[in-house]
Amino acid sequence: MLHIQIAAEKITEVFGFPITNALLTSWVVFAVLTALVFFLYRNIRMVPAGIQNVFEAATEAFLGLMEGMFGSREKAERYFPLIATIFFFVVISNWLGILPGVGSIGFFEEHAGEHGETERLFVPLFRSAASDLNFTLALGVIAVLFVNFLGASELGIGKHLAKYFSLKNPIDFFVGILEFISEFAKMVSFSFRLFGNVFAGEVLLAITGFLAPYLVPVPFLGLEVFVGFIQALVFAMLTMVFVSIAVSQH
Amino acid sequence: MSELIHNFGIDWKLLAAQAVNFFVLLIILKKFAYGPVLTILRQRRERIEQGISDAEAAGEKLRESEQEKEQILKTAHVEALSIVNTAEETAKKHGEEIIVHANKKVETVVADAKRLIEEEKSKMGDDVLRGGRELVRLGIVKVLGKLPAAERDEVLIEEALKELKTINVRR
Repeated sequence: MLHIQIAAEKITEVFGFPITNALLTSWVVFAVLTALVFFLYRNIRMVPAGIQNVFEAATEAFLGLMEGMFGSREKAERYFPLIATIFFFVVISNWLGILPGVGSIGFFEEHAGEHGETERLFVPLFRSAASDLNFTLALGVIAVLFVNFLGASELGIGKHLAKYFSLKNPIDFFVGILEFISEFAKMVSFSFRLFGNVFAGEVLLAITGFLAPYLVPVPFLGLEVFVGFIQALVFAMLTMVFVSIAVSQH
Repeated sequence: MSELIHNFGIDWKLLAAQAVNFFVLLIILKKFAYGPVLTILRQRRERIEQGISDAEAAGEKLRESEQEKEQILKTAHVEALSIVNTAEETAKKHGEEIIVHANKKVETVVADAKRLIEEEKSKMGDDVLRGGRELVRLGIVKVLGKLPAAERDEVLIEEALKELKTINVRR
């Protein structure tokens, strides 16, 4: 029977530092993106070709969206790296997560079962990075921290903190408290939205693959390609909206 | 709460690793992808704007030079016409002058020629007279030489007296 585990499986431990299969995948994503970027950087031309075209198209699409949101190209370019990095990191990890081999190549581990007998558990070597809450929570925390940092650097620390801690009147005080709590809610919603979608996709693919291994999973694979893109876009767009709210004067 | 954290496998070490991952990626992407690409997009935009404005300026200049050309052609046409006209006029005037001059010259030449002819004629008459006299003298010498001198003189005197008489009578 299928074994579905919410937490990422630990592969090994280096000096007490646990290395899970999801962390390994996120390193692969990192390596892929770095390789693409170095290839892009070496071949950057005034007249674009190949990967530069793709990257420029994505950049222009993003900048167009952000220009509408922030009101000026200059501001859009200032916040572009954060938003784009979130998007590319998430979308590449989602798409790598549905490649064949991810979740199916691995090894068996002996575990002590509940009744004393030994259990053999399959541990995949790779697991979609976003199907580990550590990945999505780290991104969510970073996104929210960045939003607040950018807000503070744009408006000044005092003015930014006044959004959360205001003693001007009782209404502002309570609204501020709610705002402060909602920042943590944002972290949770960011991380669980992405985690839930990607993990559900993994489970869905595992189940369809288990029930009908041929042809039937194909539409679901297509769906997961789409979901992976949409979730990355949602993460990036929400970060963008929060940044634009944080840096605007009230 | 701790059970939740355990079930989801949340580990601060893993969180930190993922966060570091993200930050390093952010720095790499910013330095090697976003920076250069945004710069090149900006440069390309500037260059295209420059190119468009250059093309517009060139078109404007072309239009101007076209107009200028037309203007020049028009004035050139007018000028050419006036030049031809004046040339015709001056040519006509010159022609008339030349004809007048030629006529004058012809007249003087003819007059000269007449005078020369006249002179020649008179000179020729003198010559003829002179030659005639000599001839007559020689003839006379020849005719009279045959007569004896006394007789000849008698005859001559006779003749001269006759002549004198006729001159006196005429008077």
